[in-house]
Amino acid sequence: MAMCDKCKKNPATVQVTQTVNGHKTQLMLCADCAREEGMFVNPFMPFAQMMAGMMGESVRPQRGSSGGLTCSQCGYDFSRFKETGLLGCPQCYHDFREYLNPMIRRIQGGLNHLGQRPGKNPESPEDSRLSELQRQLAQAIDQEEYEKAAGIRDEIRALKGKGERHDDTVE
Amino acid sequence: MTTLWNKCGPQGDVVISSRTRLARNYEGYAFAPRLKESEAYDLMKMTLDAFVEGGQDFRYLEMRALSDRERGVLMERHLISPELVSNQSAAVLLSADETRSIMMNEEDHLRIQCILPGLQLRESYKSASQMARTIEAKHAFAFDDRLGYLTCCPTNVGTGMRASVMVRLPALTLSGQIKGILDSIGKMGLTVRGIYGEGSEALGCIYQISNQVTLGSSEEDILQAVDSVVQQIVEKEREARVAWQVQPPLNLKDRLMRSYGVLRYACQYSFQEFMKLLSDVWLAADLGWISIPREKLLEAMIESQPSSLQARANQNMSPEERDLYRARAMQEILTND
Repeated sequence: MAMCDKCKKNPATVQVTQTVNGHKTQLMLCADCAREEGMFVNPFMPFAQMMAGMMGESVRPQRGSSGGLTCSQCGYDFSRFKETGLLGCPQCYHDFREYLNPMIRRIQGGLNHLGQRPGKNPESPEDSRLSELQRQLAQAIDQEEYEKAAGIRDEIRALKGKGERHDDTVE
Repeated sequence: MTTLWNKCGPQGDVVISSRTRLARNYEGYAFAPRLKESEAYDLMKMTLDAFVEGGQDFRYLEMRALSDRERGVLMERHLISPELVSNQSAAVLLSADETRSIMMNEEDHLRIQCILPGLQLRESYKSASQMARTIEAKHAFAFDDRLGYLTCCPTNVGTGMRASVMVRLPALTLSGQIKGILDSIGKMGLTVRGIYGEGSEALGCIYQISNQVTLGSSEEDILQAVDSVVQQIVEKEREARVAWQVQPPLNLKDRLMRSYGVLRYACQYSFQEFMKLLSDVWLAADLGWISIPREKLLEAMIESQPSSLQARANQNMSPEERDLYRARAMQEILTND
């Protein structure tokens, strides 16, 4: 695994692309150094300022110079999201995920929903077991304990029953 | 007269109200700002049907059918947002006691909220969650296995939940302790803002404390975080008030009683001026220097706002006319002798 370009001690987990005085630099940093470099945005910064900071620097440029990334469902142009902070439809989350997910992680501090789910009854023992497993899975992924995560994922699959798709891709 | 805004809830000496809002969107549709007008109306009808079938006793109000004044009154009572006011293809479902409302076609298809007097965050969540489930039993919401409930703006994705508590902190504000407290709340992943007025100046010393992050924590964890911070602030505000009862700062009583004099006998005041007077008078009542029931103070806070004032008079008024009427109406509410 590549080591952090700054401290040279920890494994690099964050790729940072910056443009300084017109020169593009790319760094591989560990989480600690990335935080020090201010790559994790203060959640209390006004939204527009936060957006500008993220879009301007650490997000890789999108396909096509005119910003041709559009949603396959609603045709919403990703460049409009940069202006408004709003998305066009639920599918936009999927189609823009490459750019959107790192940003959501910065705003929200994580990417794994731990709250209520459709059709779940909070009083049911199976459903509360499922919620607990989902919480453990998210924690394992965040701590990069992938073996443990795979075990929990299998248990979730078993609990959910066959035939249900479970999207467990790790970003 | 509303039933919510003249009631005092738990911890009512400091906490005015608790509100939980859930953002939800229907599967298979564009988000609200991108809906065609006909789709917007379809969704409103769909929500109404799901709710009426669920046996709920709610009023359905379409924004285009309401006058500016009527919309203003709903906004001033925190039942609809300023964004909804200016949207013609929007509606609100309102419970008979006005504690629960569902805004349709705001930024999200649905903003489901419950607002209760005093500190009752969990109760308000329970109620909002129940409403969401009533609708979800009929129509699926946009949900992603990993990201949770999908919202128009990614700042709401996941739980879609904003849990907020409105507090009145005159002693912490006047003593200057508030700044440190606001800073430390920020560090805990919560956000604070003044309810009335923009920027750092919180008119009436009234603040709203709410969660910032909606993804990566369960609803219970979010409620717990907001609730425990509010409890601590309530204790600090009480301590400051008790200290002032024992030994009031120089000139404090004089200042508050002067405000009481102006409030009682002036012929006109603007909303801004009134809120400052009300804040002083309310604190004088907290400290036991005058006697006005808390319910009356709450009522004055809501009724002094422009739309509510005109609704009370049952006529449209110019700003100057409002200032004159405000003084009369508030003196009627607050001084019954």
